[in-house]
Amino acid sequence: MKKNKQLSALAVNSRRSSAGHRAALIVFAFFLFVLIIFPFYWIILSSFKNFLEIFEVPIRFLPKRLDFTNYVEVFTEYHIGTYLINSVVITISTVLITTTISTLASFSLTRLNFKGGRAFVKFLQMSQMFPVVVILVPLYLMCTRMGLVGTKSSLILPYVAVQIPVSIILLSTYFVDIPKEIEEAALIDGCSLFQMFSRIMLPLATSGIVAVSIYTFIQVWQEFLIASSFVRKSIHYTLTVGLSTFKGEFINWGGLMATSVIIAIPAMILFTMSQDFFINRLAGSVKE
Amino acid sequence: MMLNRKNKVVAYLLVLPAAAMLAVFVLYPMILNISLSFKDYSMLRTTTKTVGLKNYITLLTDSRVWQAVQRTFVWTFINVAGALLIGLGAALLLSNGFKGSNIIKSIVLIPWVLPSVITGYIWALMLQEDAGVITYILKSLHIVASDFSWFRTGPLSMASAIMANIWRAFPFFTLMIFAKINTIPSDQIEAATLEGANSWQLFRFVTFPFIRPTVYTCTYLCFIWSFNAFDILKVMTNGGPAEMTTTMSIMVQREAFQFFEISNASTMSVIMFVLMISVILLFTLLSKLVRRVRK
Repeated sequence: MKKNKQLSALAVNSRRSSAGHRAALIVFAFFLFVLIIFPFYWIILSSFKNFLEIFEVPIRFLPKRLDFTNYVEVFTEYHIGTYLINSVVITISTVLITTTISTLASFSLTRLNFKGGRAFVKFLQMSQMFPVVVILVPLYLMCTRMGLVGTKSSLILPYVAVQIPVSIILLSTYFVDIPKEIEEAALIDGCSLFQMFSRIMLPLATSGIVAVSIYTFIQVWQEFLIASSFVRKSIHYTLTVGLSTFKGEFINWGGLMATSVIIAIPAMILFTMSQDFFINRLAGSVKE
Repeated sequence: MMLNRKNKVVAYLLVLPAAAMLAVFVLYPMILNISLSFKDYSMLRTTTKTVGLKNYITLLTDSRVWQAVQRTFVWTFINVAGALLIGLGAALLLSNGFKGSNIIKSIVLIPWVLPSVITGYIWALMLQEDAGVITYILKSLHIVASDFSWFRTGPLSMASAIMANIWRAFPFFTLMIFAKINTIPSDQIEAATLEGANSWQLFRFVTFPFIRPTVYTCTYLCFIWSFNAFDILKVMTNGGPAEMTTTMSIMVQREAFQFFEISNASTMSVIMFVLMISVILLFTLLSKLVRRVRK
Protein backbone atom coordinates (compact mmCIF):
# COMPACT_ATOMS: atom_id res chain seq x y z
CA MET A 1 0.00 0.00 0.00
CA LYS A 2 2.70 2.36 1.09
CA LYS A 3 4.74 1.42 -1.93
CA ASN A 4 1.86 2.22 -4.26
CA LYS A 5 1.57 5.66 -2.80
CA GLN A 6 5.24 6.33 -3.35
CA LEU A 7 5.09 5.07 -6.88
CA SER A 8 2.08 7.20 -7.64
CA ALA A 9 3.90 10.24 -6.31
CA LEU A 10 6.57 9.62 -8.90
CA ALA A 11 3.93 8.93 -11.50
CA VAL A 12 2.15 12.20 -10.72
CA ASN A 13 5.40 13.90 -11.32
CA SER A 14 5.73 12.33 -14.72
CA ARG A 15 2.11 12.99 -15.63
CA ARG A 16 2.71 16.68 -15.29
CA SER A 17 5.50 16.57 -17.76
CA SER A 18 5.01 17.53 -21.37
CA ALA A 19 4.11 15.29 -24.29
CA GLY A 20 7.62 15.67 -25.68
CA HIS A 21 9.03 14.42 -22.44
CA ARG A 22 6.73 11.40 -22.58
CA ALA A 23 7.70 10.64 -26.16
CA ALA A 24 11.35 10.75 -25.16
CA LEU A 25 10.59 8.35 -22.31
CA ILE A 26 8.96 5.87 -24.67
CA VAL A 27 11.88 6.06 -27.08
CA PHE A 28 14.41 5.43 -24.30
CA ALA A 29 12.29 2.61 -22.89
CA PHE A 30 12.06 0.99 -26.30
CA PHE A 31 15.80 1.32 -26.76
CA LEU A 32 16.40 -0.24 -23.34
CA PHE A 33 14.05 -3.10 -24.16
CA VAL A 34 15.85 -3.83 -27.44
CA LEU A 35 19.25 -3.55 -25.74
CA ILE A 36 18.29 -6.18 -23.17
CA ILE A 37 16.40 -8.57 -25.42
CA PHE A 38 18.20 -8.45 -28.75
CA PRO A 39 21.30 -10.52 -27.87
CA PHE A 40 18.99 -13.26 -26.52
CA TYR A 41 16.98 -13.22 -29.67
CA TRP A 42 20.18 -13.43 -31.66
CA ILE A 43 21.41 -16.47 -29.71
CA ILE A 44 18.16 -18.32 -30.40
CA LEU A 45 17.96 -17.21 -34.03
CA SER A 46 21.56 -18.22 -34.72
CA SER A 47 21.03 -21.62 -33.14
CA PHE A 48 18.60 -22.40 -35.99
CA LYS A 49 20.99 -21.33 -38.72
CA ASN A 50 23.35 -23.66 -40.55
CA PHE A 51 26.95 -22.81 -41.30
CA LEU A 52 26.17 -20.94 -44.53
CA GLU A 53 23.17 -19.07 -43.17
CA ILE A 54 25.24 -17.61 -40.32
CA PHE A 55 27.39 -15.80 -42.86
CA GLU A 56 24.59 -14.96 -45.26
CA VAL A 57 24.48 -11.32 -46.35
CA PRO A 58 22.07 -9.49 -46.33
CA ILE A 59 21.31 -10.69 -42.84
CA ARG A 60 17.94 -12.26 -42.09
CA PHE A 61 16.28 -11.02 -38.93
CA LEU A 62 13.64 -13.74 -38.89
CA PRO A 63 14.17 -17.49 -38.96
CA LYS A 64 13.65 -19.17 -42.34
CA ARG A 65 12.54 -22.36 -40.62
CA LEU A 66 12.90 -23.98 -37.22
CA ASP A 67 15.86 -26.19 -37.99
CA PHE A 68 16.93 -28.26 -34.99
CA THR A 69 19.93 -29.82 -36.78
CA ASN A 70 22.39 -27.90 -34.59
CA TYR A 71 20.72 -29.16 -31.43
CA VAL A 72 21.04 -32.75 -32.62
CA GLU A 73 24.59 -32.30 -33.90
CA VAL A 74 26.00 -30.93 -30.65
CA PHE A 75 25.16 -34.31 -29.11
CA THR A 76 26.12 -36.52 -32.04
CA GLU A 77 29.13 -34.73 -33.57
CA TYR A 78 30.36 -33.00 -30.42
CA HIS A 79 30.38 -34.26 -26.84
CA ILE A 80 27.91 -31.89 -25.27
CA GLY A 81 26.11 -34.81 -23.61
CA THR A 82 29.24 -35.67 -21.61
CA TYR A 83 29.82 -32.04 -20.62
CA LEU A 84 26.18 -31.71 -19.66
CA ILE A 85 26.43 -34.68 -17.30
CA ASN A 86 29.69 -33.30 -15.84
CA SER A 87 28.10 -29.89 -15.27
CA VAL A 88 24.96 -31.33 -13.73
CA VAL A 89 26.88 -33.61 -11.33
CA ILE A 90 29.33 -30.88 -10.31
CA THR A 91 26.70 -28.16 -9.90
CA ILE A 92 24.20 -30.30 -7.98
CA SER A 93 26.90 -31.67 -5.66
CA THR A 94 28.19 -28.17 -4.98
CA VAL A 95 24.70 -26.83 -4.31
CA LEU A 96 23.84 -29.68 -1.91
CA ILE A 97 27.10 -29.44 0.05
CA THR A 98 27.13 -25.63 0.14
CA THR A 99 23.51 -25.35 1.22
CA THR A 100 23.87 -27.98 3.96
CA ILE A 101 27.00 -26.42 5.41
CA SER A 102 25.60 -22.89 5.12
CA THR A 103 22.22 -23.70 6.63
CA LEU A 104 23.85 -25.16 9.74
CA ALA A 105 26.22 -22.22 10.01
CA SER A 106 23.61 -19.52 9.50
CA PHE A 107 21.27 -21.16 12.02
CA SER A 108 24.04 -21.09 14.57
CA LEU A 109 25.15 -17.55 13.67
CA THR A 110 21.68 -16.00 13.82
CA ARG A 111 20.00 -18.03 16.56
CA LEU A 112 22.69 -19.10 19.01
CA ASN A 113 24.68 -16.17 20.28
CA PHE A 114 28.16 -17.46 20.77
CA LYS A 115 31.51 -15.83 21.26
CA GLY A 116 33.27 -15.04 18.01
CA GLY A 117 30.10 -15.22 15.92
CA ARG A 118 30.21 -11.54 15.02
CA ALA A 119 33.85 -11.74 14.02
CA PHE A 120 33.06 -14.71 11.82
CA VAL A 121 30.29 -12.80 10.05
CA LYS A 122 32.74 -9.94 9.41
CA PHE A 123 35.19 -12.46 7.99
CA LEU A 124 32.46 -13.86 5.74
CA GLN A 125 31.57 -10.42 4.42
CA MET A 126 35.20 -9.84 3.56
CA SER A 127 35.80 -13.21 1.92
CA GLN A 128 32.60 -12.75 -0.10
CA MET A 129 34.46 -10.08 -2.08
CA PHE A 130 37.58 -12.17 -2.41
CA PRO A 131 38.70 -12.56 -6.05
CA VAL A 132 39.20 -16.15 -7.18
CA VAL A 133 42.16 -15.18 -9.40
CA VAL A 134 44.25 -14.62 -6.29
CA ILE A 135 43.87 -18.20 -5.05
CA LEU A 136 43.71 -19.91 -8.43
CA VAL A 137 47.35 -21.00 -8.61
CA PRO A 138 47.74 -22.36 -5.04
CA LEU A 139 44.39 -24.14 -5.32
CA TYR A 140 45.64 -25.96 -8.37
CA LEU A 141 48.86 -26.96 -6.59
CA MET A 142 46.82 -28.24 -3.64
CA CYS A 143 44.64 -30.29 -5.97
CA THR A 144 47.76 -31.73 -7.63
CA ARG A 145 49.23 -32.70 -4.27
CA MET A 146 45.99 -34.28 -3.12
CA GLY A 147 45.78 -36.16 -6.41
CA LEU A 148 42.48 -34.54 -7.28
CA VAL A 149 43.38 -33.22 -10.74
CA GLY A 150 41.03 -34.69 -13.31
CA THR A 151 38.38 -35.54 -10.72
CA LYS A 152 35.15 -33.68 -10.15
CA SER A 153 36.26 -32.96 -6.58
CA SER A 154 38.97 -30.64 -7.89
CA LEU A 155 36.14 -28.33 -8.97
CA ILE A 156 33.51 -29.10 -6.34
CA LEU A 157 35.72 -28.35 -3.32
CA PRO A 158 36.86 -24.88 -4.47
CA TYR A 159 33.30 -24.07 -5.63
CA VAL A 160 31.87 -24.95 -2.23
CA ALA A 161 34.46 -22.81 -0.45
CA VAL A 162 33.90 -19.86 -2.77
CA GLN A 163 30.09 -20.05 -2.47
CA ILE A 164 29.85 -20.56 1.30
CA PRO A 165 30.24 -16.88 2.39
CA VAL A 166 27.48 -15.51 0.10
CA SER A 167 25.26 -18.45 0.88
CA ILE A 168 25.55 -17.96 4.66
CA ILE A 169 24.98 -14.21 4.39
CA LEU A 170 21.86 -14.65 2.25
CA LEU A 171 20.48 -17.51 4.36
CA SER A 172 20.98 -15.51 7.53
CA THR A 173 18.53 -12.89 6.26
CA TYR A 174 15.84 -15.61 6.32
CA PHE A 175 16.74 -17.02 9.74
CA VAL A 176 16.79 -13.54 11.26
CA ASP A 177 13.21 -13.01 10.05
CA ILE A 178 11.84 -15.88 12.16
CA PRO A 179 10.28 -14.30 15.28
CA LYS A 180 11.97 -14.92 18.62
CA GLU A 181 8.60 -15.83 20.21
CA ILE A 182 8.36 -19.00 18.12
CA GLU A 183 11.77 -20.08 19.32
CA GLU A 184 10.92 -19.31 22.96
CA ALA A 185 7.61 -21.12 22.75
CA ALA A 186 9.38 -24.18 21.39
CA LEU A 187 11.88 -24.15 24.22
CA ILE A 188 9.14 -23.80 26.84
CA ASP A 189 7.41 -26.79 25.29
CA GLY A 190 10.59 -28.72 25.95
CA CYS A 191 12.08 -28.89 22.47
CA SER A 192 15.72 -29.83 22.32
CA LEU A 193 18.05 -27.73 20.21
CA PHE A 194 17.95 -30.34 17.48
CA GLN A 195 14.16 -30.52 17.51
CA MET A 196 13.90 -26.75 17.38
CA PHE A 197 16.18 -26.69 14.36
CA SER A 198 14.62 -29.56 12.43
CA ARG A 199 10.93 -29.12 13.32
CA ILE A 200 10.63 -25.35 13.58
CA MET A 201 13.47 -23.46 11.96
CA LEU A 202 13.98 -25.61 8.86
CA PRO A 203 10.32 -25.62 7.75
CA LEU A 204 10.09 -21.86 8.30
CA ALA A 205 13.25 -21.18 6.33
CA THR A 206 12.50 -23.58 3.47
CA SER A 207 11.60 -20.92 0.91
CA GLY A 208 14.84 -19.12 1.72
CA ILE A 209 16.91 -22.26 1.51
CA VAL A 210 15.43 -23.04 -1.91
CA ALA A 211 16.05 -19.49 -3.17
CA VAL A 212 19.65 -19.42 -1.97
CA SER A 213 20.26 -22.87 -3.50
CA ILE A 214 19.02 -21.50 -6.80
CA TYR A 215 21.38 -18.54 -6.48
CA THR A 216 24.29 -20.92 -5.84
CA PHE A 217 23.20 -23.10 -8.76
CA ILE A 218 23.23 -20.16 -11.17
CA GLN A 219 26.68 -19.06 -9.97
CA VAL A 220 28.28 -22.51 -10.21
CA TRP A 221 26.52 -23.49 -13.45
CA GLN A 222 28.29 -20.66 -15.29
CA GLU A 223 31.70 -20.88 -13.61
CA PHE A 224 34.50 -20.66 -16.15
CA LEU A 225 37.79 -19.47 -14.61
CA ILE A 226 38.46 -22.44 -12.31
CA ALA A 227 36.96 -25.00 -14.69
CA SER A 228 38.92 -23.80 -17.72
CA SER A 229 42.16 -23.71 -15.71
CA PHE A 230 41.97 -27.00 -13.80
CA VAL A 231 40.41 -29.34 -16.34
CA ARG A 232 42.93 -30.82 -18.75
CA LYS A 233 41.19 -33.68 -20.56
CA SER A 234 38.18 -32.95 -22.72
CA ILE A 235 36.09 -35.78 -21.21
CA HIS A 236 36.13 -33.79 -17.94
CA TYR A 237 34.97 -30.50 -19.48
CA THR A 238 32.00 -28.69 -18.05
CA LEU A 239 29.52 -27.01 -20.41
CA THR A 240 31.07 -23.55 -20.26
CA VAL A 241 34.52 -24.96 -21.05
CA GLY A 242 33.03 -27.30 -23.66
CA LEU A 243 31.87 -24.30 -25.71
CA SER A 244 35.49 -23.87 -26.81
CA THR A 245 35.30 -27.19 -28.70
CA PHE A 246 33.25 -25.39 -31.38
CA LYS A 247 36.31 -23.34 -32.21
CA GLY A 248 38.36 -25.06 -34.84
CA GLU A 249 39.77 -23.63 -37.99
CA PHE A 250 36.36 -22.01 -38.29
CA ILE A 251 33.95 -21.40 -35.46
CA ASN A 252 30.78 -23.51 -35.66
CA TRP A 253 28.54 -20.68 -34.53
CA GLY A 254 25.30 -22.59 -34.99
CA GLY A 255 26.41 -25.38 -32.67
CA LEU A 256 27.89 -22.90 -30.23
CA MET A 257 24.63 -20.98 -30.02
CA ALA A 258 22.52 -24.14 -29.74
CA THR A 259 24.68 -25.20 -26.81
CA SER A 260 24.37 -21.71 -25.33
CA VAL A 261 20.60 -22.10 -25.39
CA ILE A 262 20.96 -25.48 -23.67
CA ILE A 263 23.19 -23.91 -20.98
CA ALA A 264 20.98 -20.86 -20.52
CA ILE A 265 17.66 -22.70 -20.15
CA PRO A 266 18.16 -24.15 -16.62
CA ALA A 267 19.54 -20.85 -15.34
CA MET A 268 16.64 -18.89 -16.85
CA ILE A 269 13.95 -21.26 -15.56
CA LEU A 270 15.37 -21.23 -12.05
CA PHE A 271 15.76 -17.48 -12.16
CA THR A 272 12.15 -16.96 -13.24
CA MET A 273 10.98 -19.27 -10.46
CA SER A 274 12.74 -17.20 -7.84
CA GLN A 275 12.49 -13.70 -9.26
CA ASP A 276 11.07 -12.37 -6.04
CA PHE A 277 14.22 -13.47 -4.24
CA PHE A 278 16.49 -11.83 -6.77
CA ILE A 279 14.60 -8.59 -6.74
CA ASN A 280 13.86 -8.23 -3.03
CA ARG A 281 16.37 -10.28 -1.03
CA LEU A 282 19.45 -9.67 -3.10
CA ALA A 283 18.78 -5.94 -3.18
CA GLY A 284 18.19 -5.96 0.55
CA SER A 285 21.26 -7.94 1.51
CA VAL A 286 23.69 -5.82 -0.47
CA LYS A 287 24.92 -3.92 2.51
CA GLU A 288 25.55 -0.24 2.51
CA MET B 1 18.96 -17.63 22.82
CA MET B 2 20.66 -18.52 26.09
CA LEU B 3 22.77 -21.59 25.84
CA ASN B 4 23.86 -24.15 28.35
CA ARG B 5 27.34 -25.60 28.17
CA LYS B 6 26.49 -28.53 25.94
CA ASN B 7 24.61 -26.35 23.47
CA LYS B 8 27.49 -23.90 23.35
CA VAL B 9 29.67 -26.65 21.96
CA VAL B 10 26.93 -27.43 19.42
CA ALA B 11 26.89 -23.79 18.29
CA TYR B 12 30.57 -24.02 17.41
CA LEU B 13 30.20 -27.44 15.83
CA LEU B 14 27.54 -26.09 13.46
CA VAL B 15 29.86 -23.37 12.17
CA LEU B 16 32.86 -25.68 12.01
CA PRO B 17 32.31 -27.17 8.52
CA ALA B 18 31.97 -23.72 6.98
CA ALA B 19 34.98 -22.38 8.86
CA ALA B 20 37.06 -25.42 7.92
CA MET B 21 36.21 -25.17 4.21
CA LEU B 22 37.12 -21.49 4.18
CA ALA B 23 40.33 -22.05 6.10
CA VAL B 24 41.51 -24.86 3.82
CA PHE B 25 40.32 -23.58 0.43
CA VAL B 26 40.49 -19.80 0.80
CA LEU B 27 42.76 -18.71 3.65
CA TYR B 28 45.47 -21.34 3.25
CA PRO B 29 45.76 -20.83 -0.55
CA MET B 30 46.06 -17.10 0.04
CA ILE B 31 49.00 -17.63 2.38
CA LEU B 32 50.50 -20.27 0.08
CA ASN B 33 50.19 -17.77 -2.78
CA ILE B 34 52.23 -15.17 -0.93
CA SER B 35 54.89 -17.71 0.01
CA LEU B 36 55.07 -18.93 -3.62
CA SER B 37 55.72 -15.36 -4.76
CA PHE B 38 59.01 -15.42 -2.83
CA LYS B 39 60.11 -18.68 -4.42
CA ASP B 40 61.40 -19.80 -7.75
CA TYR B 41 58.86 -22.44 -8.64
CA SER B 42 58.01 -23.70 -12.06
CA MET B 43 56.21 -26.86 -13.05
CA LEU B 44 58.81 -27.31 -15.77
CA ARG B 45 61.64 -27.65 -13.27
CA THR B 46 61.95 -29.91 -10.25
CA THR B 47 63.93 -27.67 -7.91
CA THR B 48 62.41 -24.94 -5.80
CA LYS B 49 64.41 -22.32 -3.99
CA THR B 50 63.63 -19.19 -2.07
CA VAL B 51 64.60 -16.09 -4.00
CA GLY B 52 63.27 -13.25 -1.84
CA LEU B 53 61.98 -10.27 -3.77
CA LYS B 54 63.49 -11.34 -7.08
CA ASN B 55 60.13 -12.23 -8.67
CA TYR B 56 58.70 -8.85 -7.74
CA ILE B 57 61.71 -7.00 -9.12
CA THR B 58 61.65 -8.96 -12.38
CA LEU B 59 57.94 -8.39 -12.90
CA LEU B 60 57.85 -4.76 -11.85
CA THR B 61 60.67 -3.90 -14.25
CA ASP B 62 58.92 -5.66 -17.12
CA SER B 63 57.09 -3.21 -19.36
CA ARG B 64 54.56 -5.90 -20.40
CA VAL B 65 53.41 -6.15 -16.80
CA TRP B 66 53.00 -2.39 -16.55
CA GLN B 67 51.00 -2.34 -19.75
CA ALA B 68 48.74 -5.05 -18.34
CA VAL B 69 48.27 -3.01 -15.16
CA GLN B 70 47.41 0.04 -17.25
CA ARG B 71 44.94 -1.93 -19.39
CA THR B 72 43.31 -3.38 -16.30
CA PHE B 73 42.66 0.11 -14.98
CA VAL B 74 41.35 1.40 -18.32
CA TRP B 75 39.12 -1.67 -18.67
CA THR B 76 37.84 -1.35 -15.09
CA PHE B 77 37.24 2.40 -15.23
CA ILE B 78 35.27 2.39 -18.49
CA ASN B 79 33.25 -0.63 -17.40
CA VAL B 80 32.30 0.81 -14.03
CA ALA B 81 31.52 4.25 -15.45
CA GLY B 82 29.49 2.80 -18.33
CA ALA B 83 27.53 0.36 -16.19
CA LEU B 84 26.86 3.06 -13.61
CA LEU B 85 25.60 5.60 -16.16
CA ILE B 86 23.41 3.19 -18.12
CA GLY B 87 22.24 1.43 -14.96
CA LEU B 88 21.32 4.68 -13.21
CA GLY B 89 19.64 6.03 -16.34
CA ALA B 90 17.57 2.88 -16.74
CA ALA B 91 16.57 2.92 -13.06
CA LEU B 92 15.40 6.55 -13.32
CA LEU B 93 13.54 5.72 -16.52
CA LEU B 94 11.75 2.78 -14.88
CA SER B 95 10.86 4.89 -11.85
CA ASN B 96 8.58 6.97 -14.09
CA GLY B 97 6.16 4.07 -14.00
CA PHE B 98 5.02 4.23 -17.63
CA LYS B 99 3.14 1.51 -19.43
CA GLY B 100 5.45 -1.41 -20.07
CA SER B 101 7.88 -0.53 -17.31
CA ASN B 102 6.82 -3.71 -15.55
CA ILE B 103 7.88 -5.79 -18.53
CA ILE B 104 11.29 -4.18 -18.57
CA LYS B 105 11.60 -4.58 -14.81
CA SER B 106 11.03 -8.32 -15.06
CA ILE B 107 13.54 -8.83 -17.86
CA VAL B 108 16.22 -6.39 -16.77
CA LEU B 109 18.15 -8.90 -14.67
CA ILE B 110 18.28 -11.49 -17.43
CA PRO B 111 21.64 -10.34 -18.88
CA TRP B 112 23.05 -10.73 -15.40
CA VAL B 113 21.78 -14.31 -15.14
CA LEU B 114 23.02 -15.38 -18.57
CA PRO B 115 26.36 -17.20 -18.09
CA SER B 116 29.14 -14.71 -18.79
CA VAL B 117 30.91 -17.01 -21.25
CA ILE B 118 27.79 -16.99 -23.43
CA THR B 119 27.67 -13.19 -23.18
CA GLY B 120 31.20 -13.16 -24.57
CA TYR B 121 30.38 -15.47 -27.47
CA ILE B 122 27.14 -13.77 -28.52
CA TRP B 123 28.79 -10.35 -28.58
CA ALA B 124 31.70 -11.80 -30.53
CA LEU B 125 29.18 -13.15 -33.04
CA MET B 126 27.20 -9.90 -33.24
CA LEU B 127 30.41 -7.91 -33.76
CA GLN B 128 31.90 -10.40 -36.22
CA GLU B 129 33.60 -8.77 -39.19
CA ASP B 130 31.40 -9.71 -42.17
CA ALA B 131 28.19 -11.19 -40.89
CA GLY B 132 28.02 -9.83 -37.36
CA VAL B 133 24.67 -8.11 -37.10
CA ILE B 134 25.95 -4.95 -35.41
CA THR B 135 28.87 -4.55 -37.80
CA TYR B 136 26.50 -5.29 -40.67
CA ILE B 137 24.06 -2.54 -39.65
CA LEU B 138 26.87 -0.04 -39.10
CA LYS B 139 28.28 -0.88 -42.54
CA SER B 140 24.90 -0.64 -44.28
CA LEU B 141 24.35 2.80 -42.77
CA HIS B 142 27.89 3.76 -43.88
CA ILE B 143 28.82 4.68 -40.33
CA VAL B 144 31.95 2.57 -40.63
CA ALA B 145 34.04 1.68 -43.67
CA SER B 146 33.28 -1.57 -45.50
CA ASP B 147 36.54 -3.20 -44.40
CA PHE B 148 35.97 -2.30 -40.75
CA SER B 149 36.72 -4.94 -38.13
CA TRP B 150 36.32 -4.80 -34.35
CA PHE B 151 39.04 -7.30 -33.62
CA ARG B 152 41.99 -6.01 -35.67
CA THR B 153 43.23 -3.26 -33.35
CA GLY B 154 43.73 -3.16 -29.60
CA PRO B 155 41.43 -0.26 -28.68
CA LEU B 156 38.52 -1.59 -30.76
CA SER B 157 38.92 -5.11 -29.37
CA MET B 158 38.93 -3.65 -25.90
CA ALA B 159 35.83 -1.62 -26.78
CA SER B 160 34.02 -4.76 -27.96
CA ALA B 161 34.74 -6.63 -24.76
CA ILE B 162 33.75 -3.58 -22.73
CA MET B 163 30.39 -3.36 -24.53
CA ALA B 164 29.69 -6.99 -23.68
CA ASN B 165 30.74 -6.52 -20.08
CA ILE B 166 28.67 -3.36 -19.58
CA TRP B 167 25.65 -5.13 -21.06
CA ARG B 168 26.11 -7.78 -18.41
CA ALA B 169 26.85 -5.44 -15.50
CA PHE B 170 24.37 -2.55 -15.86
CA PRO B 171 21.20 -4.52 -14.89
CA PHE B 172 22.62 -4.99 -11.42
CA PHE B 173 22.86 -1.21 -10.96
CA THR B 174 19.39 -0.73 -12.42
CA LEU B 175 17.73 -3.20 -10.10
CA MET B 176 19.49 -2.09 -6.92
CA ILE B 177 19.00 1.63 -7.59
CA PHE B 178 15.39 1.12 -8.68
CA ALA B 179 14.64 -0.79 -5.47
CA LYS B 180 16.09 2.11 -3.50
CA ILE B 181 14.21 4.82 -5.46
CA ASN B 182 10.98 3.03 -4.56
CA THR B 183 11.64 3.67 -0.89
CA ILE B 184 11.99 7.46 -1.19
CA PRO B 185 9.34 8.95 1.13
CA SER B 186 6.57 10.37 -1.06
CA ASP B 187 6.25 13.56 1.02
CA GLN B 188 9.79 14.56 0.07
CA ILE B 189 8.95 14.32 -3.61
CA GLU B 190 5.63 16.07 -3.16
CA ALA B 191 7.23 18.89 -1.19
CA ALA B 192 9.92 19.38 -3.81
CA THR B 193 7.38 19.30 -6.65
CA LEU B 194 5.12 21.78 -4.87
CA GLU B 195 8.00 24.16 -4.49
CA GLY B 196 8.45 23.99 -8.24
CA ALA B 197 11.54 21.82 -8.53
CA ASN B 198 12.16 20.69 -12.10
CA SER B 199 13.23 17.13 -12.92
CA TRP B 200 16.93 17.92 -12.67
CA GLN B 201 16.55 19.65 -9.31
CA LEU B 202 14.37 16.82 -8.08
CA PHE B 203 17.11 14.37 -9.04
CA ARG B 204 19.97 16.50 -7.70
CA PHE B 205 18.50 17.42 -4.33
CA VAL B 206 15.99 14.67 -3.49
CA THR B 207 16.58 11.46 -5.42
CA PHE B 208 20.36 11.39 -5.63
CA PRO B 209 21.15 12.10 -1.97
CA PHE B 210 18.74 9.31 -1.08
CA ILE B 211 20.16 6.69 -3.43
CA ARG B 212 23.80 7.70 -2.96
CA PRO B 213 24.70 4.85 -0.55
CA THR B 214 23.27 2.28 -2.99
CA VAL B 215 25.16 3.86 -5.88
CA TYR B 216 28.39 3.67 -3.85
CA THR B 217 27.83 0.04 -2.91
CA CYS B 218 27.04 -1.03 -6.46
CA THR B 219 30.02 0.88 -7.82
CA TYR B 220 32.25 -0.81 -5.27
CA LEU B 221 30.97 -4.27 -6.21
CA CYS B 222 31.21 -3.53 -9.92
CA PHE B 223 34.78 -2.31 -9.42
CA ILE B 224 35.77 -5.62 -7.80
CA TRP B 225 34.03 -7.68 -10.49
CA SER B 226 35.48 -5.71 -13.40
CA PHE B 227 38.97 -5.56 -11.94
CA ASN B 228 39.08 -9.36 -11.70
CA ALA B 229 37.00 -10.07 -14.82
CA PHE B 230 38.23 -12.98 -16.89
CA ASP B 231 35.48 -14.84 -18.77
CA ILE B 232 34.37 -12.27 -21.36
CA LEU B 233 37.89 -11.12 -22.27
CA LYS B 234 39.15 -14.70 -22.50
CA VAL B 235 36.31 -15.71 -24.80
CA MET B 236 36.18 -12.59 -26.99
CA THR B 237 39.80 -11.60 -27.49
CA ASN B 238 41.93 -14.02 -25.44
CA GLY B 239 44.17 -11.06 -24.68
CA GLY B 240 44.83 -10.29 -28.35
CA PRO B 241 45.49 -8.87 -30.84
CA ALA B 242 49.19 -8.73 -29.96
CA GLU B 243 48.54 -8.66 -26.20
CA MET B 244 46.57 -5.43 -26.57
CA THR B 245 43.71 -6.61 -24.37
CA THR B 246 45.73 -8.64 -21.87
CA THR B 247 44.62 -7.57 -18.42
CA MET B 248 46.17 -8.84 -15.20
CA SER B 249 43.74 -11.72 -14.68
CA ILE B 250 44.30 -12.95 -18.24
CA MET B 251 48.06 -12.72 -17.63
CA VAL B 252 47.94 -14.58 -14.29
CA GLN B 253 45.88 -17.41 -15.75
CA ARG B 254 48.12 -17.71 -18.79
CA GLU B 255 51.40 -17.67 -16.86
CA ALA B 256 50.13 -20.45 -14.62
CA PHE B 257 48.14 -22.70 -16.92
CA GLN B 258 49.81 -22.24 -20.30
CA PHE B 259 53.42 -21.49 -19.38
CA PHE B 260 53.40 -23.25 -15.97
CA GLU B 261 55.41 -20.39 -14.47
CA ILE B 262 53.83 -20.79 -11.06
CA SER B 263 55.93 -18.20 -9.22
CA ASN B 264 55.35 -15.55 -11.86
CA ALA B 265 51.61 -16.12 -11.71
CA SER B 266 51.55 -16.04 -7.91
CA THR B 267 53.61 -12.87 -7.75
CA MET B 268 51.41 -11.18 -10.32
CA SER B 269 48.25 -12.16 -8.50
CA VAL B 270 49.65 -10.75 -5.27
CA ILE B 271 50.48 -7.48 -7.06
CA MET B 272 46.97 -7.49 -8.49
CA PHE B 273 45.40 -8.02 -5.09
CA VAL B 274 47.49 -5.28 -3.48
CA LEU B 275 46.51 -2.85 -6.25
CA MET B 276 42.83 -3.70 -5.83
CA ILE B 277 42.92 -3.22 -2.06
CA SER B 278 44.87 0.05 -2.46
CA VAL B 279 42.23 1.49 -4.78
CA ILE B 280 39.46 0.49 -2.38
CA LEU B 281 41.30 2.01 0.59
CA LEU B 282 42.07 5.17 -1.35
CA PHE B 283 38.41 5.64 -2.23
CA THR B 284 37.24 4.93 1.31
CA LEU B 285 39.68 7.55 2.60
CA LEU B 286 38.67 10.06 -0.06
CA SER B 287 34.96 9.65 0.60
CA LYS B 288 35.56 10.08 4.34
CA LEU B 289 37.57 13.21 3.64
CA VAL B 290 34.86 14.62 1.38
CA ARG B 291 32.24 13.95 4.03
CA ARG B 292 34.32 15.73 6.66
CA VAL B 293 34.92 18.76 4.43
CA ARG B 294 31.16 19.00 3.73
CA LYS B 295 30.40 19.09 7.43
